[in-house]
Amino acid sequence: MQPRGVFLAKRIRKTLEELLPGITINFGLLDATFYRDDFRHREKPLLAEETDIEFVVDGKEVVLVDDVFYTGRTIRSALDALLDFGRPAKIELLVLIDRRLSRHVPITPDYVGKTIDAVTSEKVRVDWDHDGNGRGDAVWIVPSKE
Amino acid sequence: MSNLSVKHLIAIKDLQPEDVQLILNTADNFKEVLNRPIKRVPTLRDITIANIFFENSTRTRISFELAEKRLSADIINFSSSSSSVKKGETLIDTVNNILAMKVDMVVMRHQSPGAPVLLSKHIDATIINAGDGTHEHPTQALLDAYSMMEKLGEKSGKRLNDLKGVKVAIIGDILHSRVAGSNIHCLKMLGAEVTLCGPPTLIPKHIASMGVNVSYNLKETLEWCDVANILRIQLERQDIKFFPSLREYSLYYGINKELLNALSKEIIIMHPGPINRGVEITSDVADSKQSIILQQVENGVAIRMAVLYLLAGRLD
Repeated sequence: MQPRGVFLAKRIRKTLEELLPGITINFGLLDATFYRDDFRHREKPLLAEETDIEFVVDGKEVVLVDDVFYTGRTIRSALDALLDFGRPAKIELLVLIDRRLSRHVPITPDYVGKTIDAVTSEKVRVDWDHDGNGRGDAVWIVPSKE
Repeated sequence: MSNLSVKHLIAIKDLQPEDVQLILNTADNFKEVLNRPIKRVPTLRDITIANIFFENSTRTRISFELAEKRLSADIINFSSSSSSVKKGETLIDTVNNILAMKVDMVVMRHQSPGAPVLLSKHIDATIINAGDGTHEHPTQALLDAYSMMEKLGEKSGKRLNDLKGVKVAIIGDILHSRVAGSNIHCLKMLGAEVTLCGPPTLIPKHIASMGVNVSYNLKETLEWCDVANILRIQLERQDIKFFPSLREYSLYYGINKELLNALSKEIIIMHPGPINRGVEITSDVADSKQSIILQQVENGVAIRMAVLYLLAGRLD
């Protein structure tokens, strides 16, 4: 999932390919901006990131990967977006952080790195050692600016 | 996240360079959407758009309509030939009546320069200019620039981010062309060098003050340029004779294969359409592989989706 799920997805893919030599994992980038339900409820239009799905999703088992699972609205729009590419055999959801108390839609992840009980006035920030921020791998609960 | 500096798209000269970049970058995303199996996104499903055309159009009208449909907007189409405009209704009355039916955005083509500005001052909807007389045709300029950047970046596999140092010739009926006006502003903003070429009667006096070169010599201009954007002779706007005959025009300013073959490099050929085959451009040039005329049409949909998306984001 663009933009922040890409770091985790790349790392999982690399690890799996090391563990299971010879395995092929199709890898794509999905941006769900144009499928969001909060367009025009924001000050400015959201800018999309690149979507790049080079393989046929029909009949495949697809795992959506994102870093922080919060309201669930992004994943809801991602499901719509993904289904416009074809009919996967199965779709699962993998997240690094599940903020389980903040859900707006009935969606539950299949694979969770860590469950966090953070309140809405807080923000969960995930840093990766290769995301260009130079802060290394870490998950932070910080006060939300809003 | 970013925002356009304007609430309407009336003229390229109203835009900032950042606006142009924002539109072109957003068009990249929509171009990808147009290559998907399902070429439609639900983004504008709560928006209603009226396409109001007081002047004939094929490409622009279909392109806007398709862009709107690909964004899931509701559409109404209106053309003046079958409407109450014929009974004497004014422009503002016509549009206000359409808006009373809860329309959010208006895409308008009109034969009078300035009609979209007038409208934007009197009505409460987002206006997109789809060509106003001889004034501007902003989405055409944007899609032309986008197509050039795409073609010139083809070898490196990535669209260029600007047109710095690119030499563009705009050839033909500059005087009656709204495409030329918009293109000059847009190309200059992106850093291109522009030369206008055509018979002296069809090039406005003092146009060099826009920061462009003027040449009356087609051969020299073609030898100089990287891209040639060839404009149609707009006979419908010419109330007097600007040149003796179409035959003479095509002899001096028509682009044919022999001319292009004699050049030291392969230049890119563009035309906003509709083409007058055999007048400003011959068929073998229009259909050659150095012509990107059909890519321009394809990119037009992505550009218009980007404009609609970004302007819809500014609606209250």
